[in-house]
Amino acid sequence: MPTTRQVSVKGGDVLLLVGTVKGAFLLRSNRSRARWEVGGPHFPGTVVYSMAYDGRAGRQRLWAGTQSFRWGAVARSSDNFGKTWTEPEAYSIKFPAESGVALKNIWQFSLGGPEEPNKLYCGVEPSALFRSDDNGQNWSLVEGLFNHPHRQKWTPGGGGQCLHTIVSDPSNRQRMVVAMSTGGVYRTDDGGKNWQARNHGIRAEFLPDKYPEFGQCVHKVVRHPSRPERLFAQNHWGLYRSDDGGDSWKDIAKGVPSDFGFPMVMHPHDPDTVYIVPLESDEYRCVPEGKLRVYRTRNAGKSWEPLARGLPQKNALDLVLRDSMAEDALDPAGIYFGTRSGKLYGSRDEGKSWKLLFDGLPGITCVKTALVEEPHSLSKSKKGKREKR
Amino acid sequence: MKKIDAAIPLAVELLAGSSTCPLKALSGGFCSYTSHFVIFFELQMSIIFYIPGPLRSFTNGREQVEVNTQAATVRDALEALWGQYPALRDRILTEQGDVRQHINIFVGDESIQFAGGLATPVPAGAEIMIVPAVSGGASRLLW
Repeated sequence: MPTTRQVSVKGGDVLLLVGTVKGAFLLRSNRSRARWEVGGPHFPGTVVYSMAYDGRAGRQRLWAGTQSFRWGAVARSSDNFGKTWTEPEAYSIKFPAESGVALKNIWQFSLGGPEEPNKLYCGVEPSALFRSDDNGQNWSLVEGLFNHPHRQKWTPGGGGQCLHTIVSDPSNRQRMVVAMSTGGVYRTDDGGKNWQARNHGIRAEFLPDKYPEFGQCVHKVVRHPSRPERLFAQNHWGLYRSDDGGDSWKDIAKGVPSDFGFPMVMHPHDPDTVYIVPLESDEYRCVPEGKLRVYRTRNAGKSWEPLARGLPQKNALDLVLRDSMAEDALDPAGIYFGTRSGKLYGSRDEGKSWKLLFDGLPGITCVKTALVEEPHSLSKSKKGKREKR
Repeated sequence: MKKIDAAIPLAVELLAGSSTCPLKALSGGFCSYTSHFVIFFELQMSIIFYIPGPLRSFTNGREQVEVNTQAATVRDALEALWGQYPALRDRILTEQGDVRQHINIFVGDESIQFAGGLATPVPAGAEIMIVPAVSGGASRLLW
């Protein structure tokens, strides 16, 4: 097995958490984001579809959803930036025995809000949502969604039947939207007890009824915290915006070379700005015309512009998977994405220009960012924690 | 009499505690009718498990582990295995109790897939091999 290279993370650092088909990699830089130190592979040989950083309540915890095709899927965490990881004796995320269902993969981690510092959510395959109220030690199935009458008709997309997106509403913690392939968008307004399909206006090209109540293959949904009623969605054919929390969706695909694609990322500071990476088609899943281009809207989908400076514009037979694009919350915002061929790109100027940060990684399945607290902020929050004890 | 009474629990404990002894003591006592010292035993089998490399960190590095059990089936034998090495359970079986898709289990030379699955009988002295399958990998392309 390869030796895992460790990075020395300092307070104030920017981290890129990169999951791939053969392990996870951790990149760190200072806030200039000019140079990156690369660490890994963590969990060599396993697929890592999901990663997260939990900096709430003074923690510095990494999460990884690892999947060995032999030994199954397990959630693992590290409190020392990957020097050591938990190796649980018993897997913590499991379907109940009476469900008749077995976990295949962990697709997404989502953190509760600052007022719920120990709450975590996890989206899995086959589509289901798990919740933890004790910081990931114990997980329970969100029965309200699992027992939904539609579940028997949720079918797998090309990547598996998965709940890949979890979007909470910071203005109302009882409200949450999830997206699954296939199945579509579902929303709860009562903390997960009840869920309703929210796909009105989103098409399903592969079904006889092109606008069914559910069954769409929604690839990604994003929301800006300052405009909680507004959502954007990248669908299996289709780009959409909802201005009513998901009750209805409007087509916003004018001006893109293709409305087929996977990732979608919200600008951290601007609720009108969204980034996508279109693909030629569902039959030919490479970027259109052999040109790797990110597309951005700065007016909530009224128009789109290509961002290509620094990206290959010839023979780029590549794609970006749905969770392989992320933003950091610095100003100007950093945007990052990783490709199926193992190239990791980053922009320090909100997409104006791009740089190849690392090449030669295994196929990239997940890109997340983290801002490590400055030392004085960290000691303040830990002090607060000690005082509470 | 006191010395004999004191010897009984000691004998039971010694036999019950031995991982290599095929006899598991169930109970014992002094039969005042026959003036005999009686211990009831259960005959257990020794089963050897061969553990694949990636899982040996959970068996203290051991490639072979021996388990004394009265197991009649592979399922029983595996239960005895994770009685000693609990971390193996979730890595070999799903939460529904099925062998994971890309794992093969052999009793001797026979794969349980073509025998009785987890209900495959286990003879005394059996050798059970847990083998990661050579299938899998990019079984589901990431497009």
